[in-house]
Amino acid sequence: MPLNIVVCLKQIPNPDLQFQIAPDGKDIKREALNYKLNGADEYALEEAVRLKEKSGGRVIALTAGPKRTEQMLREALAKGADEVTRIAFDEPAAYDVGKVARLLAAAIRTLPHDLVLTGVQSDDLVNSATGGLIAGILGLAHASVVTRVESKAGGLEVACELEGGLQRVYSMALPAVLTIQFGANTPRYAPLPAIMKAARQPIKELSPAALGLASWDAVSLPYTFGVRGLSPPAAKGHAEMITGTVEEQAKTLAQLLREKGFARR
Amino acid sequence: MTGSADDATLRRALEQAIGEEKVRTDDSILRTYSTDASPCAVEPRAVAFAETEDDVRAVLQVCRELEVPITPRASGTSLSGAAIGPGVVLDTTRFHRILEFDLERRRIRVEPGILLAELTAYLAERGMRFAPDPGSQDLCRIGGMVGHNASGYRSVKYGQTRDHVLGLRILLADGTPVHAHDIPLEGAEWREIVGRANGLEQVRKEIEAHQDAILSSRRPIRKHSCGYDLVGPAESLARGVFPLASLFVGSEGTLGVVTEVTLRVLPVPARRVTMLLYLDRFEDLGPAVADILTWGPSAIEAVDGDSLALLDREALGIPRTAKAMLLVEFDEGDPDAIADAVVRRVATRYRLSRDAEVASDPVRQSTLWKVRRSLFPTIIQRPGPRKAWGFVEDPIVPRDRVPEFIAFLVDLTRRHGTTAGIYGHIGDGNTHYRPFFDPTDPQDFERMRALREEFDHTVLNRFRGAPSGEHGIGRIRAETLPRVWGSEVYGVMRRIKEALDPRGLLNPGVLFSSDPWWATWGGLESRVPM
Amino acid sequence: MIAIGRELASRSGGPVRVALFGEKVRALADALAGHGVEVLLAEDPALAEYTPDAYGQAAQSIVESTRPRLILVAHTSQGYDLAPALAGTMDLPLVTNCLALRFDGERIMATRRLLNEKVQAEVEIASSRPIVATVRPGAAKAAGPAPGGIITSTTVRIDGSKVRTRFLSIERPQVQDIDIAGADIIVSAGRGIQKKENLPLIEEFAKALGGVVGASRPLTDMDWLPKTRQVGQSGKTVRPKLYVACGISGAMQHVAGMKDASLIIAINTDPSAPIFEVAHVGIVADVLKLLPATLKELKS
Repeated sequence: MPLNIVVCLKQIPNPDLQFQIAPDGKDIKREALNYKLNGADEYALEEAVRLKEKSGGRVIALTAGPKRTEQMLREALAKGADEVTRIAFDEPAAYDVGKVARLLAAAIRTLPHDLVLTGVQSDDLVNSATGGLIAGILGLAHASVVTRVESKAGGLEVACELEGGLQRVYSMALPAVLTIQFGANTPRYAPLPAIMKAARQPIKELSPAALGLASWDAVSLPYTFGVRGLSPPAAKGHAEMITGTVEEQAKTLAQLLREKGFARR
Repeated sequence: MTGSADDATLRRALEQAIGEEKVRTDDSILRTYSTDASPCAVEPRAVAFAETEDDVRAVLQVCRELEVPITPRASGTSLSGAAIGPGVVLDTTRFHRILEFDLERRRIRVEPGILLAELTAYLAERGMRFAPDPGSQDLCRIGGMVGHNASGYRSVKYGQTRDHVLGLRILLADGTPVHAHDIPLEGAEWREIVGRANGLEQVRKEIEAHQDAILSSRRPIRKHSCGYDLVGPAESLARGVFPLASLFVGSEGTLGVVTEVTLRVLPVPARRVTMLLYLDRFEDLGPAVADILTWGPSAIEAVDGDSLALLDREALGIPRTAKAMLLVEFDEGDPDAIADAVVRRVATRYRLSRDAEVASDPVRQSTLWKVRRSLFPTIIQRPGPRKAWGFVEDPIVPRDRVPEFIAFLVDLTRRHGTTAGIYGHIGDGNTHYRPFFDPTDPQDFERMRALREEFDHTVLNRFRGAPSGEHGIGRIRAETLPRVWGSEVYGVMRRIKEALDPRGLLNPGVLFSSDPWWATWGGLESRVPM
Repeated sequence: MIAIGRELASRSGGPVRVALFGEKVRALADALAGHGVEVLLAEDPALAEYTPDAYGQAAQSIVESTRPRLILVAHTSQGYDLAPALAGTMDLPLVTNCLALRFDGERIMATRRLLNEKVQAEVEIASSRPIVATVRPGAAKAAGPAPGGIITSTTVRIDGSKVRTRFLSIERPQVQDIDIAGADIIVSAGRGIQKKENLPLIEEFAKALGGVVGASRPLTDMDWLPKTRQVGQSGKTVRPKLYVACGISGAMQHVAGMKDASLIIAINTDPSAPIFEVAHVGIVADVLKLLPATLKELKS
């Protein structure tokens, strides 16, 4: 059965980097950041493209973010998405996951969707909330931390990861929202020629009006949200550091291992 | 061509041929083997791990029968995309024994998968060494060095891998074993070989028929890794000898699979002396290098001022005023006396940013090498979306024109709106050039295309140089290869390939391809340059 | 969670109730009541196994009947399946993966960690509606026993026709590898080892210490090591005498599986890596250089 799949992607600052807090304390400094497609979303995109390749259908990649996210959307096209849509929500940090999820849900309503996929978490804000919120808002069936998806007569069979390496297997009806776990597949590489071809493909842009809103501030929320402040985490019980050249560090480490009786003679 | 047999058939055939434990087709392994150290990504259909020549022969047979291409691979440190391919990747890393060491005749016979580092350690215990020392010397293997005709820091004195290969054992595409070395055309051995090995006689005829064009296609450069060596065979054939090994060294896996290598080894030098010089005036670089070359250095490396600016000058002790750095090494004669003389000459003639530093003990020497060695890691780890992808990274020009060439590269970089790392083996004319771009950004991509076109044109026409001194043609420079040697000589190379591999099974897409340099690039979003 | 709930309740002056869903889970209800709280026990055959729809309906039913100010859910794979969908369905505010929560007047303040644990954030939410929050396991010391607990049986409405997810089975990983959970010495590798080819170095180091090799999630995801070697929330929880983390950044999911080791030595090139927060001994170094040098020292 052909599937209309919407995959929600997020562009995040590479979390391997070091971060500094902006002077107002409400965000990180964003001038010199490297952005990338969120890790779990890579697996979600790959799963979407594989399902399409197996069952037929279309993959629409959707994001909410500033102009810079177009590069990520081009990467999605190069990796097999058929169309891409950007909700032109320009807030660079977008700390309120509830607001972003409502925008995504509003956009998904305007798109054909048998299946909505996204990553299990974003590595910048680590909410693990977007998929579930969308399912709740749109009233769709859902499952989280999915490691395997198979299309079965009129529905899906999915395996969800639990703590300790166990998997819970469900059968579920469509339409549905799934959050895809890291390692669910091996994401393909984007070929450079396909990225260049994607550069000529249109990126659909959704303004507030397209989602029936007067402005991005007009999203109806049952709460008020604010970032009170960011700070470097308090170092609790920080490690005793071994310093020096590599040789000196090795000497100290070897000595320590011997003292503690771990070195086999 | 990727063959008509499906993946399961291919896997079963390979498993039957060499055993289940030597064949892998799972997603993660195919991913690993879809890249080398270049920005290219080509996913194979299967990876076969050869441990013996029988394994190589059996895999070749499967590939012939199923019409699936085969790409030989050692450590996968190719910077040109020559170690990846669309069919079966033949991993040789488990095919790595030392077969025979002959101290008296100064030669060693090894299997292609041996690590250079392992070979170096073995030889060092016996007071000997294998001279070529590429930047990847901790990782690379002999098979890959042979395929690329690799060289490195000391090539100014010791040349390239080809200069140290005494013989090769090769399996041709049809499985025929050939012992490639210098073979007299009048002898029984040649008659025996051409009787067995289809196409070799045709190769000889091609080279002889186009001897004049081959010799006049020569460029005034000291080395290159740009396709088959035809000049050497053309000259030798005129004397009645076919230097068969020479033809296969640098052939990037397109003519046969190497199963044994016999190498010339040299004694470890008794002493080395290293000196580090910083010049205040870039214009002094050329004359200073010319002066130093008269003493016969074993290495001479340069880094330009803009590249020094990429480094942490404070931490590395680089003088603020320095516009160029020179690192020089001598390993023969009375190194201390030579060093003394060089320092005196250089200090009186040129404006040094500070006194020359000279080191004769290995610990001090490695400190002096630190600036040079820290350059590449700094360049490839530079943060930001623009990265130092290698696509123009390895040009070689006549060595007396290197300063002029570096000035051209500096200007080229600025005109195309970026910065670059420029450094290299100035002693033999081989520069390493890594401009920073983001190829996934359409505007930067256009800049890269324009820069590459101007680079190729200028290297080839204005400087009479070649696009690769040591990294090879692979996929990234294949479109430029015809322009290096001219259409007649390029035609000879193509017909040699067709004579030895008529079905095009060996490493297709490498050396001979009209695809643009970026056609097989991929995965840049999650990779870093090497 | 009960501890956090009790603490918050003591400041705001309301009761703490624990909702327990399932079938034949009376014994568990008794245990929970032993912490001095009211347990709302909802037993129903449809709740025998967790499914997002049945548990979602049950949670909604409880929220509607009790109108709490705050709904706490554990930030586990089941918890962050349930909580966001509940918030979405009922149009409730949501804050997830919290380290700490407190009331600040009308507002709820949540402490969260962002960007690989490198940044801490205080966020505030104010609402007239019940707020849904998920709390990171281990965010507080488990509550001790307390008197006064009661169990109240509750009926929840579950409309079977609206249960679109059906439980089929639980799959267990096939064990055919060594069990790292019982090892005294574990040397674990993370992305910092860069290439699969560097694994033998880790193995050699582990052997020199008489230990076994573990891994962080990215390595088992890439199949460099079997899943059975994975330490962390979705892998094994280990308590060895010595844990050496080689090139592991120390994401929360990994730390959850090894933080109780007696001696933790961390090696990482990034001085700001969160692994140094749980490690007893830290070394800022390239593991590919440090291990060979240390092996040499150990052999000499």
